[in-house]
Amino acid sequence: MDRRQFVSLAAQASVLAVAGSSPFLRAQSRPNVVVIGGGFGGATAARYLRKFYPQAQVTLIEPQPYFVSCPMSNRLLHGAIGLKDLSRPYAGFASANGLQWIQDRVNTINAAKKELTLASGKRVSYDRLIVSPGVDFDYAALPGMDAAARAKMPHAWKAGQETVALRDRLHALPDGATIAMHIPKAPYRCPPGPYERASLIGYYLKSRKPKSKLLVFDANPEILSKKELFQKTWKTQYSGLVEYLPNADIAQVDGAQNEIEFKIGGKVKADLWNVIPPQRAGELAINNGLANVNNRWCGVDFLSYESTAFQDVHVIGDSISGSPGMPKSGHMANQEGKVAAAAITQELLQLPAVTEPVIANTCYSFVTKNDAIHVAAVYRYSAETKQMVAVKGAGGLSDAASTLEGVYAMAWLTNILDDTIGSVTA
Amino acid sequence: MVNVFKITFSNLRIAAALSIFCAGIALPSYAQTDMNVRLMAATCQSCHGKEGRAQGVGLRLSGQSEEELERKLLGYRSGQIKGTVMHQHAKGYTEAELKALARHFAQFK
Ligand SMILES: Cc1cc2nc3c(=O)[nH]c(=O)nc-3n(C[C@H](O)[C@H](O)[C@H](O)COP(=O)(O)OP(=O)(O)OC[C@H]3O[C@@H](n4cnc5c(N)ncnc54)[C@H](O)[C@@H]3O)c2cc1C
Repeated sequence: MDRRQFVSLAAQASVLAVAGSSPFLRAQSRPNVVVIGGGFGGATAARYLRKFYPQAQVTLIEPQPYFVSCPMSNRLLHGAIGLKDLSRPYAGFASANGLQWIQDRVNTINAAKKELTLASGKRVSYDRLIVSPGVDFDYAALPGMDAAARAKMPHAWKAGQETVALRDRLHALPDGATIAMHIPKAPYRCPPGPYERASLIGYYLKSRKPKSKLLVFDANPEILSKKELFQKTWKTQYSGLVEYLPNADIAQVDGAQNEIEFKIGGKVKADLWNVIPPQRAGELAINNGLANVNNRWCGVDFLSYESTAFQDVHVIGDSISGSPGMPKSGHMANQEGKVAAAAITQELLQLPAVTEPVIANTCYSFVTKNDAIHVAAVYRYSAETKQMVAVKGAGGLSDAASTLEGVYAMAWLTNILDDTIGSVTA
Repeated sequence: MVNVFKITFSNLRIAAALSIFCAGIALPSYAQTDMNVRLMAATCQSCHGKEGRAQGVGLRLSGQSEEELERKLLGYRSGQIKGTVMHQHAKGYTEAELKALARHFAQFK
């Protein structure tokens, strides 16, 4: 037993010794924490709850058999990496961490009864609930984006078969083709992600199909992250191959014609469209009253990530309404999962809360086959504003794209996957 | 669930009970310090691995002395040591926090 485990046991032993009365007989039964969604947020929260509070019983509800990392999935498009490199089975994760895994989807959260109903009809009760369902796509905001159009214009914004489909179609195109991308209005998951994708499609075209072109239509007024660094790469590496157009909000999608009309006027036909749709909190959060900020994102208390809508329900990851400047990233979801796990542990054990949580983010983007850039920030809880605030003077960008940062980017992936979901591969 | 655990004494008394229980190893506020440091260290592990045992050149924190880790962290914070990204992170923490992290990760050989 190390000192940490000793202190944790001691804390409970001393509580027992002082209490000794009947409520404690109930307290002795293991608290039952349920985590919905085993992505970057949920998997980390489940794992760290077991670390911080080994006596807690932790159940993970996740329908997919595999965790698939979105980070670095853009590298699949030019063939540097395969889907298997990004995948980890939930079965191995659950057994290695003493978790119960229910392979199912949650349909309803009854916060008053503290009970969930799953797609199979099964009911699951909880003492504490952590919800990390990621994002959902708001197709209603894209007129004409019906099922047929969606199948033709893959988003590949949830890594998996769609990423493979986008790669295969890109690779099947003849040289001289026009490829087009649409970037939705912020907030969406991974602010630099679409610009990384544009760079790597640019890389693929330069090396394989130099007579082709990528048109990037951004609904935002400018590049939202690492702007100068991306601009510099496109100018020096992909001049004539990647063209960027801001303020391009979609008016109408015509799937049959592979054509999109923009609000600023003009229709664009392409041989391949990659449409990243506008985003909001995961459907589960929307349908169960957790998305109480503009009906799109979930309000939380940044000390514990407890929902501002329901008691004993915590929301982490992409679904939350973050403080200004907080990105929706896997790194942040991982950090938020740890803060939530610590807050739940301290409260259940009646130990003092952490009053000034500090979390950090590093987002790497590849801009060529081997070269990457980063943006980093450190966020600290402000008791005054009750928000997470980026520490002034900390954080920042790369000076320039480099192969050294490319090496660090892949080391980041290895280590954050180990930390989130473990290193057991399929 | 909270109600089950809403016992009649305050956190302070738990801390007191703890310090008696753990006499010799714990300061009176140990319980709180412990989770503060454990959580902060946990946030480092996203890049630096469990117990600081990261894979990749220059990322490992384990196997270093407290003095060595403290020298590096404070060096990044002051700008004396420049990395690709670590000097940007270190500036987000106080000197006291970095010293506590150095002490924490020095446990892991
Ligand atoms: C192309 C791309 C590149 C990216 N690159 C980076 C990067 O380099 N660095 C970085 O930090 N971030 C990156 N991101 C962002 C990162 O992937 C997300 O921010 C992160 O996955 C968010 O974690 P999450 O837990 O909120 O959601 P997710 O990881 O999406 O996990 C949600 C999980 O919940 C499950 N779920 C949903 N609904 C239910 C339900 N009703 N019942 C049960 N389970 C449910 C889903 O199956 C899923 O497994 C990138 C994203 C993309 C698309």
